[in-house]
Amino acid sequence: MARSTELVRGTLDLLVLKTLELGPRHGISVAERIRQITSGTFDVKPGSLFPALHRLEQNGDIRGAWTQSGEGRRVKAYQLTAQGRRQLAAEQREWQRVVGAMARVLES
Amino acid sequence: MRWSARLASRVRGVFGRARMDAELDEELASCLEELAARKEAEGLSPAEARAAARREMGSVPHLKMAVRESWLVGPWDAAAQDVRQAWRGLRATPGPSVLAVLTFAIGIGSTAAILAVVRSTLMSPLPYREPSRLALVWADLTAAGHPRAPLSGPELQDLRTRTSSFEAIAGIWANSVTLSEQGEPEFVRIGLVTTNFFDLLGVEPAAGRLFAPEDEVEDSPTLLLSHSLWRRRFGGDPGVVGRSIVVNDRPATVVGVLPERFRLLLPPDAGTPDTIEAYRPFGPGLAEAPRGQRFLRVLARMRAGVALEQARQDVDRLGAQLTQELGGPRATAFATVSLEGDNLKPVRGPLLVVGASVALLLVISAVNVLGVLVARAAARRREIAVRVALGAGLVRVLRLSLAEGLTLAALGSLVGIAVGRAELQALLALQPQTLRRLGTVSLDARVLAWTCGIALVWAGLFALAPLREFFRQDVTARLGARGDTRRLRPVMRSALVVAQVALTVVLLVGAGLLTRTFAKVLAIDPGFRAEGVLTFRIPSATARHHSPLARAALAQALTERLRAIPGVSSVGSASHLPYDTIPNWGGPYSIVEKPDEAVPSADYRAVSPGFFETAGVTLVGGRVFEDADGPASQRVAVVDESLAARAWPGRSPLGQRLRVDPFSNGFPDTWVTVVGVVRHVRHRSLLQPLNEQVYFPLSQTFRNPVAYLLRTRGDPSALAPAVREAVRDVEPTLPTYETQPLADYLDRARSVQRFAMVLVLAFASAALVLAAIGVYGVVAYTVVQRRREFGVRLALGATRRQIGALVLRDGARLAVLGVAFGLAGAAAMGLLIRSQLFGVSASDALTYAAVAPVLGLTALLACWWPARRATATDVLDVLRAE
Repeated sequence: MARSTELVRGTLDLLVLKTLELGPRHGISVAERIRQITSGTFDVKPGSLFPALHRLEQNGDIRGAWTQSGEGRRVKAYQLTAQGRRQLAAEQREWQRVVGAMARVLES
Repeated sequence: MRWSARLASRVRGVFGRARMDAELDEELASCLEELAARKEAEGLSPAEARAAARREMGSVPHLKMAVRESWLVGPWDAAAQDVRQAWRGLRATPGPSVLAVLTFAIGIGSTAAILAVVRSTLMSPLPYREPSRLALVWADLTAAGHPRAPLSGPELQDLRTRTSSFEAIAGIWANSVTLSEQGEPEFVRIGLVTTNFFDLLGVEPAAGRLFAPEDEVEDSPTLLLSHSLWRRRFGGDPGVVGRSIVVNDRPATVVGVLPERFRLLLPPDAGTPDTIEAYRPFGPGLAEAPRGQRFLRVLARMRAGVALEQARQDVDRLGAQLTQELGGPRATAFATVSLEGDNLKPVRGPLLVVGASVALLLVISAVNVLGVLVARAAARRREIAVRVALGAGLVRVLRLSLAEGLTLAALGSLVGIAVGRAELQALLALQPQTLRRLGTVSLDARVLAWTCGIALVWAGLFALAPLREFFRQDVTARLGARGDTRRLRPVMRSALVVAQVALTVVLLVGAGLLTRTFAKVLAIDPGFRAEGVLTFRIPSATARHHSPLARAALAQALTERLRAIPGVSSVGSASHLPYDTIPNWGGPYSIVEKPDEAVPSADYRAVSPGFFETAGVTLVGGRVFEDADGPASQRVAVVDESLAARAWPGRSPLGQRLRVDPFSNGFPDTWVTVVGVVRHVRHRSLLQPLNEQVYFPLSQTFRNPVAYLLRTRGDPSALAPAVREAVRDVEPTLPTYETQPLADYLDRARSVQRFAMVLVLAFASAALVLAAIGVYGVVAYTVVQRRREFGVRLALGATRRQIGALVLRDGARLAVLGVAFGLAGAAAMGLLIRSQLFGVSASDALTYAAVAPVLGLTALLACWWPARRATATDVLDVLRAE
């Protein structure tokens, strides 16, 4: 059980990091972006999104800062840190490896 | 993010909770708005949009909890949380917590102090190069009463040339000289050494050089200064090396300065006090000196790989050869011992006793703290039950109590280090003579590390306190439990208190035995009266008073001037004072012309006519010396009663002739006539049997320095300024030194027994207080638990006196059990302590009988307050609560 939750958590972290690759976003915007890109396959609820964001911030992969949203509201926007970028690259490679392996297993 | 920033965020995570919470609230609120705005943009009314947004956000408290969990990322954060919680828990019950911290501090602090002492005296090696290879070689004159006599020059030479076990052999002899360069003339202790002495020890000079073989010249005009003398008299000026200074009115060249940390640590009977402040080499004629002239304390460095036993056999072989070659009445025998072992022998016993008692105190203090924690666990039974019911596992409960134990131990250790520091200061003030290495004692890093280790072990033990509560079955019963008195009787705590009382009894009995020992030592009649006597020393080897007549004139003038000081009733002088650090002076005696067998040895002392009266040595027969016993008159002597009884059993010693060796030629070559007999004086050791004693008139011998004694009715110390002035009046160039009451010397002779007694007594008192606290804690707790029972009893007609008795009986039961176990333990401890006792049996009935009531009374006193509280139980109050 523990392994599978770990995997899910890792997947969510990877998604969040990837979303922030192009620039800072606030929480809701991150969820929106994930939903858009995955055409709704992944609908990340605030209940799992915020713990993930804070966990990544504690790890030092992302950094939050208060800014103005497009409509002029005060929001906390997150951006990747240098460490976060490295982390993203590493997790991407790892993911490719796992996916490749899975594909080979399933095709055999 | 850099590690520092990450650390900062961790620290914020642990301590900046409130701010982070507020920020999270703000973030979630802004997100809610953001969501609502999006819903509105999708066409919902503002109210509907808000509701939809709320739905999507889900349960906010739940969300916040999940986020908070993410703040605690590492094990450190979890630990910090535990510590925070433990701190809150301890603060919630400040009384018991403070008590626990103080208790722990007393135990850990005392342990640290004693550990420091034990480490520096018993465990750290002597501060010399490869100290395990150092040995002492004594002449074994057991037949003459001297199992450890000094060696003569020829014997040192024989050892050097005719044994093969040693790399180097050196000798030392302590003397005194007057330094009259720069400022007031000053008398200093000096060590005469063979030139290889410091090389043998492995000392490096702080300035200049050590002695070299070419320094062995007639009148040895070279000098090595100790660091302290160099500082005090020459202001630490490195330019003093190579300079000529005046020693005993003659020039001597300073060749070097010894390092600050150099200390001369020879056993006490070597007569080399650690107050030696300068060294000079022996002249070249050492090997040609008379064979019987014994004054060299001999140190030898064994070759690498040579065991002490091998060296001993080697030296003994030489002794056998010498006996054969020399013939004569006396066999030559040596005693070879390790320097390290020899130094430790007199301190090991007392220190082990003190160490054992501090260990007991540590256990008692820990048991007390454990008691407090067990009580806390019992009081938190419901809380623990709730935690368990909510799914907290064993690990979680243990972790929390471990955090509590660690917090207690950390606080206790901090306070304890301060306590230990203070104790060490007090202990150093006791200045036990045999613990000379105490000067270097400190709470160093290693001692602190050990102490922390002990604290950690205890903290681990403390963590187990609530285990019982955890394993208590039946969670629902616990949750519902209210006042079932039977179950709430604190069995565990009672057991702890019994153990504590028992250990305290052991300590008290030990303290009692040592106190009785000290009382016996105090009661020993040393053969002289020390009260009311002031002593000081002067050098007698000055150029101005070189002839015997000049010395006699000076002595006469000084004595008269000193006697004129108001309040002084008598004045005397002597070569030695009891228990001083001047090397012992002694030699053979015989009553026949040509002694043909092993002759007995006596301690020699040279004294003035006024000595016996001033020191309070009782004249048994004949007369004391008179002024008429001058340098040129008939040689006379006074002997002690033990010599008289041995030499002339059944006959009067008065007028008898005795052959002695006052000029240390090695054989009894001088006839003296016995004119008086005095009481035997315990002048070198209070406890050990001593040699017989022969007194010579100071005027007929030459001893340097000379000690003066003044008897007064008032406080002897008050005479010191007048003494200084009187000596200056008579001879302005004469330095006085070691001005102190005779009683101080006597105190020093009792210092080992006092040291052990004071420390064990202090630990026992601390233990008694802790035991009282322990008993009080348990009884007070049961009183609170049994309030309902007491109320019911009162309502049913019990008198308040009966209630009080009920409580006292509880306490008494603990005390009696503890005392019973304790007395049994004390019997075992008696075996350990036996060697440290004097005049008291280890199973001394009086001590045992005295300890039991002391503890009983203390326990009853500890129960008094809870008992009062019990009798004050308000019946209506209790019944209303039902």
